Amino acid sequence: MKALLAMLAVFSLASSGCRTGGLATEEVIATGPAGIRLAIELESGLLVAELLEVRSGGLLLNVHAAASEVPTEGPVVFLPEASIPTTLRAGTDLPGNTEKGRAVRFGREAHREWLTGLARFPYGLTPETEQRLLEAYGQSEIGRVIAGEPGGTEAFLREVEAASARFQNPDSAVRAGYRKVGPDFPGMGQHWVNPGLVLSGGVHPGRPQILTYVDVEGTPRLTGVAFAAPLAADEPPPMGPLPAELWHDHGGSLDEEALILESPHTADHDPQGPRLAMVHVWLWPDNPDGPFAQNNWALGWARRGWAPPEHVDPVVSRALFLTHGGDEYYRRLLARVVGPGTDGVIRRAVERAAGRASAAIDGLPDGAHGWSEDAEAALLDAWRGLWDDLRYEMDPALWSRLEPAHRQWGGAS
Amino acid sequence: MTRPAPRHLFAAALVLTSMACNVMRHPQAEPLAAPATVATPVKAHLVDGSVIVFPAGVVYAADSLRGAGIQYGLRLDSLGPRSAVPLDSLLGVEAVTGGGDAAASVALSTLAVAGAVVGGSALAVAIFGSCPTVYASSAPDAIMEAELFSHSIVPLAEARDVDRLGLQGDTERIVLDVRNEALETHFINHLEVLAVEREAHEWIVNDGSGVPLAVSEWLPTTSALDGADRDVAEVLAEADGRWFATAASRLAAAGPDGFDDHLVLEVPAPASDSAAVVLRLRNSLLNTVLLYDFMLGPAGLHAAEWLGGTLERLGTAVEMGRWYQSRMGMRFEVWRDGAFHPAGRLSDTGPLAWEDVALVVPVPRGEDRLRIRVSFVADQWRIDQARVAASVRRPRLTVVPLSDVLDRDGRPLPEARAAAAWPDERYLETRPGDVVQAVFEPGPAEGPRTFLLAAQGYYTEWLRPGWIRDGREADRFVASDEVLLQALERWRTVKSDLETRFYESRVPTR
Repeated sequence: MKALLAMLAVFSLASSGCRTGGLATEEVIATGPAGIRLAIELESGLLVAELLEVRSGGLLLNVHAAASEVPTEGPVVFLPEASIPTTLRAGTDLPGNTEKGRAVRFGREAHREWLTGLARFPYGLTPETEQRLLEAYGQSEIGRVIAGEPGGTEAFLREVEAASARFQNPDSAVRAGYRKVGPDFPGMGQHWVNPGLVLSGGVHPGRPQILTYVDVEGTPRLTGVAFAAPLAADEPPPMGPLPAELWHDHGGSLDEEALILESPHTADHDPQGPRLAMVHVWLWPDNPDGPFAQNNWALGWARRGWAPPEHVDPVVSRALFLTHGGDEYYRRLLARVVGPGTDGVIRRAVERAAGRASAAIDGLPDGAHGWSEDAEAALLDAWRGLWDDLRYEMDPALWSRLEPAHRQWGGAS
Repeated sequence: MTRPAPRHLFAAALVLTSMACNVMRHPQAEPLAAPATVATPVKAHLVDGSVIVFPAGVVYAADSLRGAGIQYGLRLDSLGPRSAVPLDSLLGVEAVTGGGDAAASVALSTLAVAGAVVGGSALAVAIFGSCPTVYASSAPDAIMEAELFSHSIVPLAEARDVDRLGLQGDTERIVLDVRNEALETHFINHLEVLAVEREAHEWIVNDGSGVPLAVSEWLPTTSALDGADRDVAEVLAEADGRWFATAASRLAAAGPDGFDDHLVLEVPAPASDSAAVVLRLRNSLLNTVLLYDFMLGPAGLHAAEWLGGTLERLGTAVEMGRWYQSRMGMRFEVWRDGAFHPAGRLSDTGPLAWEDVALVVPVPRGEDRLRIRVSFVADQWRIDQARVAASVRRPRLTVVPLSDVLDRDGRPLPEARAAAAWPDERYLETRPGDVVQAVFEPGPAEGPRTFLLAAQGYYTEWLRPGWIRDGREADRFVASDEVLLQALERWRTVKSDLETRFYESRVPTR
């Protein structure tokens, strides 16, 4: 099959008038086990590698470390398209002589097709085969070139988006081993976790440990993914395309981690102990705080099928959540913070706030044009009213437990 | 290397009644010097079938559990407050764990016509455990087809599990007996069948992560050397009930310097890029000893807190998971360039049903033989068959949803069906002795096909009264190699008769 593909690729290249050399290379590659060798001049130095696979966003490579000038995270690396120079060289006798081989312009479709046919995996790797390949080379995840990767995070985002498209249908997520864990969070939605992938760790765009969804008109809609790594005490987050500062830790129980007042997240657990480090990657709707922020407050509008306004106010988003099943979340959260004996007060206050929030958006049409400043003001009032009710109806000693949260996200004007 | 004797459930229960039930007790356990207090919610299951819920925890003192409890009858009707229950009236204590929405769970006992309490004396001595068991029919001698999510011992560990069924591919209506034959509460979240189309010469098997694979072109096994240098290729050649187990000498040698055994399978190198190692296997009871004698038993009542609190913390779960991942299961390596290189891992499957599972490994270039080393903790596995296939592909499959759940008498249980039809907040909850029939209607086949059962859920083990009586807070479980070595030491002393007694002590289903 590989030979056939190589011949087709060569034919394609020849017929497009772009042939750049004889057939010897193709024949060697087509009948041998390895992919073609590439010599790539990066800004930081020469990279010599076997071509494993041509992907939509770049190249999967098996790096020849002894012949390369740039460090990589293991032999199997992904080189994003943005990092690939206009011209690279391909041949079978590399790295013995990097001047040999033929010049390939990766930006040209015909050249890309030619390379695809001469990769070790011309039809692409299945996730399973990719995992085996990595393990065969002693890696748990695909590495990257440590220097010379402008736009690496952008390329990674594009890969995540492409790879997670299959999970738009939640049935696919279930059959791939993901399951919903914990509640629907106001700024994060639902977390669907794959326990096996969590234990494996690693940051691979095609195998995120967590998928995030929000419920839109009764159907879970994919909003993004999250990567999670089980870490021992003092163990740093995995190296890879996502900078270390993007990761945050979880170590407590699900309730402790889910029902939190603080933001950004600092749940009650031993910061020195084992923990699950996480980073979100938001795909839809666009997160006004960036694709890796912990919360995406645009979800408040997305849940109702509305396009978010130009300025996304987290307080308004919280109030919107009250109208979409969030009343139960806030009731549990407040009860957990205040402690036993206040269930009735909290329940009544949340019910009233939810009622006011629903009235604020009652009658608004669907879509981007349905949003109004009046509705936003009414939602703010509904949210502030929740805190006023709690303050006046609750024992002052108990209210004091809520004051820090009230200061942070009570929506005080 | 022989199969256990046929199971005679009721006879076994009687036999066990007469045995001293100290098989699973910690050898060093001493009676508690002080009352044991547990602050997390627990349920106490009584011999008469009633349940006492202690939402604020309990104290164990003077041979009784004490706390502010509410007692419920067989149909979960409230029988009023109860503040103390003698240990000798208990079957077991269950940690109330945080998974799912309790209000949305469907307890089978509230749906089915309540039968008599099933064999109280038998339950009291049962050592059989490990998750829901699935049979192809309700006949007493039916063959066990699968055991479901056997390592999901807390809600956080809930996972999807896929098992190959031995049913004929032309079956148009599948009725599976799903039984609770252990002192456990089972929380079944989802059941569905995968109907996988295949070519006549292909074998369907799951890849360990639940993805069905179609494999073919078997390669002749030229040798299969174990850690004691025995060539066990002939034992592993067929699924014939003659299984591989670690040699006694290797098990005896397991110690601080090394506790692994291995198999090295050797086949001619195929021309393909990858090959599938296909195994038919199940765990030994070493894992059960680890669970009962080290994780739960020694801590006694405190194990309820470990299951219902400590293990529900992500930090603890991470620590435990990492240790389990590194030590248990099977690790695969492939020979390349003069050394073995990591190629993958398979998780534990459970000690009851034979499971067919495959791992795809890369085929290195330049070698005339494909050598695969499979490493595992000594005597942790029973392997009936091991084969290597040169061809592996992803087959087309059709999902067959759960069409009905019936009680033992064939009456539909629509609430149970709703609970298990989709993995949401609703769970079908079963207790010891419960059985339901899960019905699937794949319709007629257009060609050869194989069925796999996909299940998702978790279970909670009931803490035995003996554990509660003898448990010590100081013996709370912390995962470590030292504990694993202790478990191996214990396993060496009990394995000779434990397997027989274990398989015969399953709880009869009503």
